[in-house]
Amino acid sequence: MVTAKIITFGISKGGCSKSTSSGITSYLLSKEDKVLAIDMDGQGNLTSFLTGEYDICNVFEEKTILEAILNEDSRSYIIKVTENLDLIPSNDFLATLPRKMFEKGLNLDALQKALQPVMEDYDWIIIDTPPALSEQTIMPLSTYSEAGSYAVVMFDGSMFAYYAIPKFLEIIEGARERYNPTLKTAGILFSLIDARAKENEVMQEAIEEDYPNLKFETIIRRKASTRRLAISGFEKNSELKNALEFYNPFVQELKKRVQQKQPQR
Amino acid sequence: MSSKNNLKDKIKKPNATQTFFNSYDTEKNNNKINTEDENKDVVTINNKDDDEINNKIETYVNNNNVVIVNDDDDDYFRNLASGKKVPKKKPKKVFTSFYMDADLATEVDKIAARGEKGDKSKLINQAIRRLLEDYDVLEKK
Repeated sequence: MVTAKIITFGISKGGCSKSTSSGITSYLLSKEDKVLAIDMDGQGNLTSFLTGEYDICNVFEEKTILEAILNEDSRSYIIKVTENLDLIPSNDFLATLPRKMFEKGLNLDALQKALQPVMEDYDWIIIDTPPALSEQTIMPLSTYSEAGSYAVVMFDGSMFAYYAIPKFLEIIEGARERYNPTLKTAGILFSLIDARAKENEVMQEAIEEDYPNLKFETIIRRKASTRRLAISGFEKNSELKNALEFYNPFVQELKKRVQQKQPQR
Repeated sequence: MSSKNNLKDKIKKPNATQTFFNSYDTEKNNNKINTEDENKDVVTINNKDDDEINNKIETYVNNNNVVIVNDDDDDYFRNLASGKKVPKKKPKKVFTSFYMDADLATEVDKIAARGEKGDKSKLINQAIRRLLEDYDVLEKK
């Protein structure tokens, strides 16, 4: 049995489309493969995005990734979104994770332990992380899978994000050295706030020069229809094709980069 | 519009990733570690047998009022400072932490780098012990 490939979306800057990209990627992959999406951000945006539920502290009370990690077993906290797409939700209480891990003496391999029982149940584990150097970011990157563990670095075209890239790459390097020797950077995904901004070209040149071959060829150009997915959802959405215009090629490129050769079913 | 070269090289210091990971190494080696603010000199912690943990800003040392200090420590550090390496003993310690002046930390790190794990703690212990002996807080050995 092959284990799931783990894809962690991250960057230490907010608003770079981590939740949207991880959510859409989970949805698109689940069309053919079995996918587990994990929300490691206490804002719970991925949770809301995939479930349509915004009352997350109430609906998912004590049924989140927080409890999965603290109990070192995720099985009881997985919810079914569609036939092929499962989710471990998150809510604001995830803010207590570092303190509770400390109290329980858990280490940065705690997510690994929590996911171990389900690692063979999925083709993909897609993880959304918060924009911070924290347990919620480090643990996904520190989670090893025999099938491979990868990071997608998000970039929104801004100067802030430009300087967040080397920091996030250093986090990846740290996780690789200490916990997850096979961790790889799948690439840097541009999700441009303003596709017409004149600095985009310069940013693109700088990143291609600094990180050769890391930038995904696909560039996500933000669209209102993509934003509206959080309102309309994926099912019976008349503008779905338009909303996913840039994500379809991205997911194909991602699969190619991580050499997907499962499936799990 | 600035060129791409104007965008670059605005970060001179590495980020906090290693410090974050090191904090978990510290926790692994000590069941509990207190955090302290800069106004506190020493915060406490629990008994342990392990050695010192340090990073660039904070310097953690093992300090203990029952620590055994070798009579040979002075010669030992003199040798280290001059580039010689000598055998050393490991006393039982209590883990604690405090903030050091940056210039002191730099010099201590340089000396300790020539020795082995634990030498930094030993040096700090000896320095504080001498001071406290001078203040007549501790009896001279």
